[in-house]
Amino acid sequence: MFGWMGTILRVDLTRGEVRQEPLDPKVARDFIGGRGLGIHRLLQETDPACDPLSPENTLIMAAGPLTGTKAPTGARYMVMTKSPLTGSVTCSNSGGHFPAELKKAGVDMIVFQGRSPEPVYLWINSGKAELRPAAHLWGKSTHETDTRLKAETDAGARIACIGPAGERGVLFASIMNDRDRAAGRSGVGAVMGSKNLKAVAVLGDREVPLFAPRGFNEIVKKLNKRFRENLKGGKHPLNLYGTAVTVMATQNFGVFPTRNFQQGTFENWEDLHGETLTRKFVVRPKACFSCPIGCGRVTKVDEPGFEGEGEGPEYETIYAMGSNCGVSNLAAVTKANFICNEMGMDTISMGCTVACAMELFERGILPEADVGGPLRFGDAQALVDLTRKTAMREGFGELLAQGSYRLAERYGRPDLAMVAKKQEFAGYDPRGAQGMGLAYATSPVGASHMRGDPAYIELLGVPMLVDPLSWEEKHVLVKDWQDVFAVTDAAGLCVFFTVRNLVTPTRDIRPQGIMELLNAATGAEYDLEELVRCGERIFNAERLFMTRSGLSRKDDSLPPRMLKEPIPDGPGKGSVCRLDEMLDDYYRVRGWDREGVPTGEKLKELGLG
Amino acid sequence: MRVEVRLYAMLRRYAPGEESPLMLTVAEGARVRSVLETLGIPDDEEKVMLLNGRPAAVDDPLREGDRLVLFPPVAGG
Repeated sequence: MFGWMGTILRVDLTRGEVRQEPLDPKVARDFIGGRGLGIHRLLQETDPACDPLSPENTLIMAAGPLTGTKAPTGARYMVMTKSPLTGSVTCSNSGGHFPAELKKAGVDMIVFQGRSPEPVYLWINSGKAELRPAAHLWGKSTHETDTRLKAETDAGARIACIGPAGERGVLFASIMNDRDRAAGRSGVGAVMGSKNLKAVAVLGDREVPLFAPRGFNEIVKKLNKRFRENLKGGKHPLNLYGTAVTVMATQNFGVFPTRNFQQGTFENWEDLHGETLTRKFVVRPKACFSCPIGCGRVTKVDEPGFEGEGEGPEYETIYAMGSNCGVSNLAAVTKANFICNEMGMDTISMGCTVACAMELFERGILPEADVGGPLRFGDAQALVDLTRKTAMREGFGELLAQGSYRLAERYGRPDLAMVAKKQEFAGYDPRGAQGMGLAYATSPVGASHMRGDPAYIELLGVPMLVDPLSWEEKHVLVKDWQDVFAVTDAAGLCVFFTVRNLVTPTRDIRPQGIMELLNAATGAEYDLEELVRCGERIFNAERLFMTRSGLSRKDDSLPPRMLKEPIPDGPGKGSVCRLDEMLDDYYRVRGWDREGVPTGEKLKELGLG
Repeated sequence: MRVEVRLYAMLRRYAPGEESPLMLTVAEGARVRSVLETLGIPDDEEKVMLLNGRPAAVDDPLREGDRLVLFPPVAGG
């Protein structure tokens, strides 16, 4: 095989056994890789009704055929499992260097089953894989784990691991790789912790074999050349300012979530945007494997009380812990972000859960005695303190560790959690960006901006501009974006390069460039129609798992604030999210019935029947 | 007539050393294009343009007191 390494590692944690299985070429072709291979395996082997934190759940790590190649941004992998936060399937994506190393070690996918009686880590050393004791690492931060594991395996090894949050079952615990890159969402770290699996360490010595090496290198050269030319001698805005540059867009479009989504603009937004971050805390930019952009931020804070070093914050963190909490202190946001990375927690769910608690407190619903002190919007110190407590599930942190929905529900106000399927929103208010609202509601993994990010079309005009406040045609656009993102994820590429360079700049959104790279790498001879169908297949497979988990139309919903309370400020002032007007049309173009379940005909068409 | 212009990120280089927002004087009947020409911002410079908070095209007419915001078309993370 080419592109794909041809090997799956099956790890039975209960028995402590590691086995190699061949990758089925037909499955690889139909599901591309990464996210696709993962959902195919979950559907085959995992009971969608299982308890996510039980040995019956499966944890999958899967790279794509382009991961580990010289394809620009060929750096990504997907973690897939049933989520303890949402009760649905989840896919959580990450970059850095760990995914490429997996490929170099000869592995396309790792499937973890069961539960180890003692803490263990998996050590993969080019062609050999074994489970090793990890009791001496249990309780250690992700950074310390990374350092110690490199010392006891190899200095060149790449590490993916959980921190204390995952060990303790925080429902939004993450899996960190290369210290500060996060497979962040939906509690994948809690699943890993429930299996007593502390880390995966990997060292590879191979190159990813290519079907047409010369052709592939020509395409890569062409793409890199075009990328450089578009910069016209300057630097990419993501390289200069990080993803924090997004604040400018969301604030000016009036979709910058503020104070638990009560407003769409934040009066202190300039304290939080990319220019401020660069000026105050950025040491240097950082790139993932094979990436020409370099959006990563190596950062350091010296301000007393918030001292720390690490990477980030990203835009989503700045929204969730900054504007959404009414906090304009970027040092505090950065510190809370460092704590999340070291403890292994999703910054989005962490910030949004604190924001929800702040609203509950200010409304007199959450008593001060339960919190241990006042908790008002804007309290930067409380944000940092509660982030620490949540990681350790101490004091009020025990409640916060359940996420905003369960927190709000406990106090009788689940409507005040800004979630879809119990997962906290991303940094775009859906009342000012209708397509984003449809995307949040219909993503099988819960609210996410990454299962088809309409912000590109609605706010930025990439590849072309549509009105963020209109809803009539959004059902088609959202479906197309969801399918193209599935192809991107499965191939192992990063969205930042793909949306501008590898899809056609028309309403059809065809993955032209991805197809060229995949065909040269794998020899699969995909045509565009087939590739788009693969994306549709992956998305429908996730939907199938979701419906078998017990979710349906009633869960494709948004909180009352989004549907009934007009946004009070910004260009979208007076708007609500018109989800009800979009949902039936969306189900229709998806080929689903009125309950949002894929029809027998659609499943047969996609080979999922 | 006077219009208010805000430039962000690398687009600031088209008004170096200037206070933000820029207050520009343009002719009656001028369009968004006039502002871009005055500042020397080329057509192929990638940018999002918002006129009074709504997506703008280069041929959109300007009125007294209008607010134009320009920033790079980048989001993520």
